[in-house]
Amino acid sequence: MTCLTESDLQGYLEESGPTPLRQMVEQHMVLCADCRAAFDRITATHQRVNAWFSELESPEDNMPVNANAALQNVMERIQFPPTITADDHLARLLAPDTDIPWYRSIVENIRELIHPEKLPPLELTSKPVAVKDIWGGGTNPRAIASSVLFQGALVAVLMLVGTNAKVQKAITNVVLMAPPPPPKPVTPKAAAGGGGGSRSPLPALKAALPKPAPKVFTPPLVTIEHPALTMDASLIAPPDAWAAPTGAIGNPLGAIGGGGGFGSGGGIGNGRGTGIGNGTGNGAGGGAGGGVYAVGNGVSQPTLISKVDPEYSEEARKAKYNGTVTLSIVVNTDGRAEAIQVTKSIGMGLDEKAVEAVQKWRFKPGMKAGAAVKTRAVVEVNFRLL
Amino acid sequence: MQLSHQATLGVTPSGDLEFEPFFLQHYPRLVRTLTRLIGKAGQAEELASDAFYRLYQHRQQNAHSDENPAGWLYRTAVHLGLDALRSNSRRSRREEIAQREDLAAKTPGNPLYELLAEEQRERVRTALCRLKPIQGQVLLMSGSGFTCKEMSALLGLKTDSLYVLISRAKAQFEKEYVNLYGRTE
Repeated sequence: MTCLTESDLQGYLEESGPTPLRQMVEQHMVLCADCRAAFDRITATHQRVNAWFSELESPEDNMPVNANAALQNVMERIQFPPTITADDHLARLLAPDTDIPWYRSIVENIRELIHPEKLPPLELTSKPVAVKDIWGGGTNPRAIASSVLFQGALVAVLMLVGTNAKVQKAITNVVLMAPPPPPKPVTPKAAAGGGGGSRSPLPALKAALPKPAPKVFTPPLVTIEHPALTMDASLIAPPDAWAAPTGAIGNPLGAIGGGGGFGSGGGIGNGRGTGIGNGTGNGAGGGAGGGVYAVGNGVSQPTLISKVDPEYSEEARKAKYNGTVTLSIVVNTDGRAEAIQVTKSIGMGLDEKAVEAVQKWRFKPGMKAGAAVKTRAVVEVNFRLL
Repeated sequence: MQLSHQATLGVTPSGDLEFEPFFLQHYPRLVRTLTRLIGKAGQAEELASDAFYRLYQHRQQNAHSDENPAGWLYRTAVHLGLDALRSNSRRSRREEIAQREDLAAKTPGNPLYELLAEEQRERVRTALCRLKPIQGQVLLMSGSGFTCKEMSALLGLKTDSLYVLISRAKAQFEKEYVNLYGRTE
C-alpha cells in the first residue's frame, strides 16, 4: 500500500463533493496514521492561509466594474498608440554621440587653422550696473553710535579698574617669582707687592705722623750714635691737629734690604726697601727678592741682541717732548726683560711706551759659572723727535 | 463599439477569438483579483488594462504562438500587481490607511475593526510579495474564487501539479507570514 502524496492530500482539500480522489484519500487515511498526520498538518496550513487570504476581501471587491469603458480605453490605446516609442525613449535617455575620431579632429583643426571660421562680431548685450560702494556708501549712524558706546564703556571700565584701591594695592604687592640675580663676585684687586720682610715674628711696624708742635727744632747735622736726648721730628701744627690715629703712614724702622713683617726675601738691593713700609701690609707677591744677581763678582753683564724702537705717545708727539726714561729690569734666563720698573720717569705717556718697547727686547742673559742667571740691569730709553 | 479588424486576436488553435469578448470575459475578474492584491480598485483597473494592452502587443508580435492567452494575461497581470505592490511606498500605504479610517469613520460599523482588518490585509500582501510570482498567483487566484479546473486551464498545468503547487505555496506563505509577524493565533 502506497501512502498518499502531497498532491492527493491537497486535492482532497481543494476538491469538493464525492470525487474519486477524495474517496481514495478517505479510505487510505483510515488505515495509515502517517498520512493522517500529514493530512492534519496540511489541513492546518490550508485553513490558516485561507483565513488570512479571506482578510483581503474588502467592500471594493463588490464594486461594479465598467468593463466596456475600460475596453474602449484599451482599444483607443491600441489604435492610437503613443507617439513616443521605446526607441524614442532610449534615444532621449542616451546622450548624442559626440565622440569624434582623432583623425577627423586633426583634419578639422588644420582646416580651422587655415580657414578660420568667421564669427559674427561680438555684441555686448550686458551693461554695467551701478552698484552701491560698500566702503563709501555713507556711515551708518547706528553703527557709529554703537562703536562710540562700546569704546567709551571699555575706557570707563579700564579707568574704573585702574583707580580701584584694591587693584593698585595688588599691583604694588608684586611678588617676584624668580630670585634676583646673584651679585657679581668682586675680584680682589691684586695689591702691589710689598717689600721684602725680615722674617720678624712681629707684624710690620707702622709709622705715624710727626708730633704736632708749635715750634720745629732743626735736628743736628752730626750723627750721634747714642744721643742722651732724642729729638723726634715734629711739624708746626696745633696740638690736636691730628688726634686720629695715623698708623698707616711711613715706617721709621724700615731697614735696607727688608723691613719688618712676616715676609721673606731680602729686597732687591740697595736703594730698595727703605721706603715707607710695605704699603698696606701683607700684600700679594713679595717683591722680586731672591734669585736675581747683580753684575760683577763672576756674573757677566747681559747684552742686547735685538731691540724695538719705542713709539711716541700722541701727547708727547704733540708737545714735541724729548727725554730719556730709565728703567730697571731683570733679564731672565730666556733673555727677556721682566720686573720692569721705571726709575726715571718723563711722563707724557712715554714711560708706558718705554716699558712696552723693552718688553719686546731680547738679551743675552748674564752668565755665572757658565749658566744663565737672572741679572739686574738698567736700561735707558731715549725719546727724540727729529 | 466598432473595432477594426486589427483589434481582433486569433488566440486559440480551435478558432479565432475576438479581443473584445475576451476582454469582457476576463476583465472584471482580473480587476477583482488585482484589487485583492494591491487594495486599490482604481490602480487595479489601470493594471488590468495595461495587461490587456500588453497581451495585444504580445499577440501581434507572436501571432502564431500557441500560448494560452488567458494564462499569459493573468501571469502578466499578477506580475504587474506584485511590482506595483512593492513599489507602493510605505507612506502611500499609510495615507491610504488614513483615508480608509476616514471612510470607516463616516460609514456605519466599528472603525477599530476596519483599522485592524486593513492592517491584516497589509500583512498578507507583504507576505505575498515575498513568494515566487507563480506561488503568489495561485494563492491569489485560489483566494479569488478560481476553481482548480480554471486555474489549471489558465496556468496550463495538470491538476496534480497544481495541487502540489498550491500546497507548497501555502506552506511557504505560512512560513513567511510567521517569520514576519509570528503566530498570531
